[in-house]
Amino acid sequence: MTALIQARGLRKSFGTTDALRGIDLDIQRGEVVAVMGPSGSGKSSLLHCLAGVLLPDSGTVSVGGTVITALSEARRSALRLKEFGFVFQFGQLLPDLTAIDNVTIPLLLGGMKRRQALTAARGWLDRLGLEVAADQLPGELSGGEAQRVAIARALVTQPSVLFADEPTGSLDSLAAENVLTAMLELVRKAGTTLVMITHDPRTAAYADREIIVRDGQLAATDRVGIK
Amino acid sequence: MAVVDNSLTLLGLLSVEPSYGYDLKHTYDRFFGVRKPLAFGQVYASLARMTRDGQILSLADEAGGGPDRKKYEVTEVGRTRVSQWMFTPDIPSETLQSNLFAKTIIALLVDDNADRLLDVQRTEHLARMRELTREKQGADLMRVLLCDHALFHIEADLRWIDLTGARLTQLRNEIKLP
Amino acid sequence: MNPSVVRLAVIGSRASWGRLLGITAGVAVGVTLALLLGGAYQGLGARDERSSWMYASGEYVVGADTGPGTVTTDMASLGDDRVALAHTTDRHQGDRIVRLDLAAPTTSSVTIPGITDLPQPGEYYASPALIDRIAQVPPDELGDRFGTLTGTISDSALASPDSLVVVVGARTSALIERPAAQIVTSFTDVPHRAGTNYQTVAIVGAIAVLFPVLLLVSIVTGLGAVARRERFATLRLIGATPRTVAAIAAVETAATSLIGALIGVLLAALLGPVAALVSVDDGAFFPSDLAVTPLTTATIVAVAVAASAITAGGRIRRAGIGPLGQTKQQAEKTPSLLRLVPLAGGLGILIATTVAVLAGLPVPRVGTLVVIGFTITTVGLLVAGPYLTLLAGGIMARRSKTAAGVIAGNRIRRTPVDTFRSVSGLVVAVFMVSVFAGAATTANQSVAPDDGPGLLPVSTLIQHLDSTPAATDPARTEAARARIAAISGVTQVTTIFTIDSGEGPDANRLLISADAANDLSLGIVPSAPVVSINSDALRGTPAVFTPAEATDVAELTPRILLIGTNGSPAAIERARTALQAGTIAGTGWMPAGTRTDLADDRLQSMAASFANLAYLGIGVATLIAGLSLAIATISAMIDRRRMLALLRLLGMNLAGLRRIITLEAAAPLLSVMAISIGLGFLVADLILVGLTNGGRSVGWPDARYIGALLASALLALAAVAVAVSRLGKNTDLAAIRYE
Repeated sequence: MTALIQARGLRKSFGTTDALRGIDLDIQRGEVVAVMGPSGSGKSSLLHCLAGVLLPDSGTVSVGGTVITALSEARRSALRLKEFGFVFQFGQLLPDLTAIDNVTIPLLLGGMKRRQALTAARGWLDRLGLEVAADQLPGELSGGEAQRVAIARALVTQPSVLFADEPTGSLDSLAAENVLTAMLELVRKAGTTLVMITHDPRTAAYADREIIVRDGQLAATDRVGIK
Repeated sequence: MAVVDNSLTLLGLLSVEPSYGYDLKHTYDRFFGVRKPLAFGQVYASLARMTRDGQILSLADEAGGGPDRKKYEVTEVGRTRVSQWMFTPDIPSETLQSNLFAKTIIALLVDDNADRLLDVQRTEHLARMRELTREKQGADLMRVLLCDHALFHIEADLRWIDLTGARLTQLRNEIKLP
Repeated sequence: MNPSVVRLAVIGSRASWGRLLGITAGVAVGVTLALLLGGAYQGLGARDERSSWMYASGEYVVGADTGPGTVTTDMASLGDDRVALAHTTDRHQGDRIVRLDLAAPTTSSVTIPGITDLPQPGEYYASPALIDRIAQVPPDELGDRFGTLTGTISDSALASPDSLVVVVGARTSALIERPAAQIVTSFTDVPHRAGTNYQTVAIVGAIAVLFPVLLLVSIVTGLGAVARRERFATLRLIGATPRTVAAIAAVETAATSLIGALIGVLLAALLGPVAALVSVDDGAFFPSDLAVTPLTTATIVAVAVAASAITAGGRIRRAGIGPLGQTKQQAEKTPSLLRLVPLAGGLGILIATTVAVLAGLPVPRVGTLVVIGFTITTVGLLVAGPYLTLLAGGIMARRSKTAAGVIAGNRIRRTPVDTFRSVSGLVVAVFMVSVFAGAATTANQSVAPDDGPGLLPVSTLIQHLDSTPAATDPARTEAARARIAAISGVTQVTTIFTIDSGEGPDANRLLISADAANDLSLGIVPSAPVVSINSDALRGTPAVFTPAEATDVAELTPRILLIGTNGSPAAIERARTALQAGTIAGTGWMPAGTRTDLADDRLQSMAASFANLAYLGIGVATLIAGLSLAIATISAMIDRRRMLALLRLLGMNLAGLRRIITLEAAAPLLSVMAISIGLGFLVADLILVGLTNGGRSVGWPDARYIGALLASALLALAAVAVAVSRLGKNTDLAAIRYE
């Protein structure tokens, strides 16, 4: 089976700092992968390259057979809209929009009618236990609620890959666990591939496997071809 | 298993350089016996067992030779055994990973890949955490709490592994044998 | 507070340098304009004072008067302390010339500002601009009207370098019988012309320009506010008190705006001569008119610095920056319906004043009330803006079908005050444009009269004849007629008569011989020897001839000469000069004019004379408002970098981001714009009606107004486009994670 995401020879530097120093990586469809590693090891750069947010200096990333590193920014934007979802540690909701409006944005960007988008968004909020919070502003939500809204927004377009960067990094253990369980349940049910940066082993334990980035390279055990 | 495997540690120390039983005991104590030094009897018993298993051999007896006057050297069999030991992860347990510590030190002493050793152990730990996490799904709260207890302990080990990994260079410089 | 803390807090990064630069530039522009405006205000006053001598008046000479001190044809009867004076508005090629004919004995002790001696008969003194003009055209077009040039009226007695003024010496005998002649004892101490109306307009103009300037300063002070708040939060965390932080903000802004203000003083000095070229009312300024006194300069600088410092300090204090900064967006207070109160109040004052004036009630200080009402209305518009913006945002957020619309609508709804501030400059500018355009429609009623079948040609000069016996003598009039008819370019001279005895059907009618009437070719002439022509025909309505009772024009009194010309300015001026040189249409009488000239005389209005200044001021205000909008938009984008980056990550393209930013500026602009246009015209009407006792009201705006509106719209678009062109740089996706 060909891997959904294939990265080969990724290199990226910022000024004199080498963030990525030759990374080869395969991620299978439906797989849940935790990306771990010390701060500054290049985890985020790797995630950004895989998602087509950053272009590597050299190397290629292909997703479902499309070499995204060769696409124009406009095409990559379209791809992000259709195929990818993103969840960050915090502060990713548009502060002026209610929870439900936040969730509709990707659908509206995709050209859906507002009424339909609202219905779909409400469905996702319900699935994440946010019925009551739908009409609240992000500033009025708790950290855990805000993260669940973010997850709803990321999944509302039914992307094939969900990228998460420390999705529970700013939550306490219980809230983190609730958010993770909810996210994993939805991801597993939909067969979405999840690539999740975390420094927390208990979060990583929800993944099918973990890859460890150290000094811009994968730890030996994670290299392609080594089992 | 969780406690230091004395004879394998001694075998590891011997693979750094050939040594007398007496010196071996003192090197061991320096790294691992700070709280509980090794008895001479234990050292000689281990040496005898390893000789029997062909992991070490004693160099030519010198004059007046008692057991403490013998110099031991590791064999190829012995080296393989040490390597196998080092890169076989321990089962994550809730007690202090002194065996892992011993492996790390030996790996540094024999100039083997200590990073890899830690990675292997991390993978093992995470695998165990995954098992426990899976076990939590759909389990009753009592079971969940027990799993969480185990998870937090394993996580503590992982934190130690991460920290040690980050300090390997520093550690390598400090333990160079005199 | 430790100065090094200030240094660290202020010049922490390159970004803050950009901010300080923005503040400096904004304050510099503001102070420059304030100084030029202040200069213009002082200058307008000064030049009115200088030219006030031209409006000297005294008792009219009554020919038959025989009491003591009566002025006779003998010059000596005036004595040394009186002069005879006739004031005429002459014309040359459409420009007015202030002509003063003066009779005084050589021994007279009366003095006229700007000239050394009083002119003797046949001599004249003229302003430099008039002397130039006399030299440039043949004498029979202008110079022959006055006599011999003996001196120049100095600048100290002139309103403007463009002023056309002439003081002509005359004999008492020539003036004494003129109905307009007056006996004047002094040309100094003349109360000057500047009325409250004039000051009203000046103050309104100053408000029009200063509002956008203040807004600009307020907007540049807010540049990079988010980044700065974070820096201040760090200071708070390490122990600075809220007071210290506010003080740092104030000191920072004060120092920056002081530099800006000083640059502004320099710029004002450099731009003074250019600004002086702007023609207001009577013409351009003397550069020295625009010079502001050091005290005024110092005051303006001090006010600018203090205002910006207080604004900055106050804003930081109100923001309530804690040690942890503002992790959550500070919620804006939702504007309430109460915000409409000042607007209603301002309009109330204007309406009440107007109604009272129209009802004939005695209203004290109408001008002041109008200024107060206008100012409150303007402020009211600014206060009401956020509320209207809120309504617009709410509708947009609910109705919008696109992501950009939903995002922009909600943003507007949550931050109506901030959103409106960016566009408030343009809203005020458009309001002002509408007020002035509305007021100026009065002036538009005086647009060039039409030519057409049945209408007296606009190239025809109309000369009302003097009522002195000399002029009404048919023989002399006929002689003058013949003389003028011989002038090259004059095609036809027609005499219009009236009947002297005030009885009968011909009384008070304009009579003309049928032959002459036919020659005018203005329409069907009834078959009668003498016909009557409607007097409105002289003001541009079609001529209607009706039979008259009189049968011979020789028995009638000549009253009006119609001098048909080939329309060339030279021919018109030659005819005009010839008329003045003769005795039938002498000094102190309304000089010959075309329908255009006469219409100009009738409808010359305050609004028209200030239209220049108004459009200039509005132009400046609009430019500044556009600049403010650009800066505010850029500032908002910098502050929301992270959000914009996030939207790009979600898959929104740059065009989508541009739409958001554009909508956020356009929605409040459009929603409040329509209201300000409507209000502008209403206020213009109220001001006009109030100030002229119902004499004038607004009409349709002219093309310049449409042009100004279009220009504002283009400027707003350009401002947003400039801001948006920076989007690419500001939405680096890396901004998402590291802030």
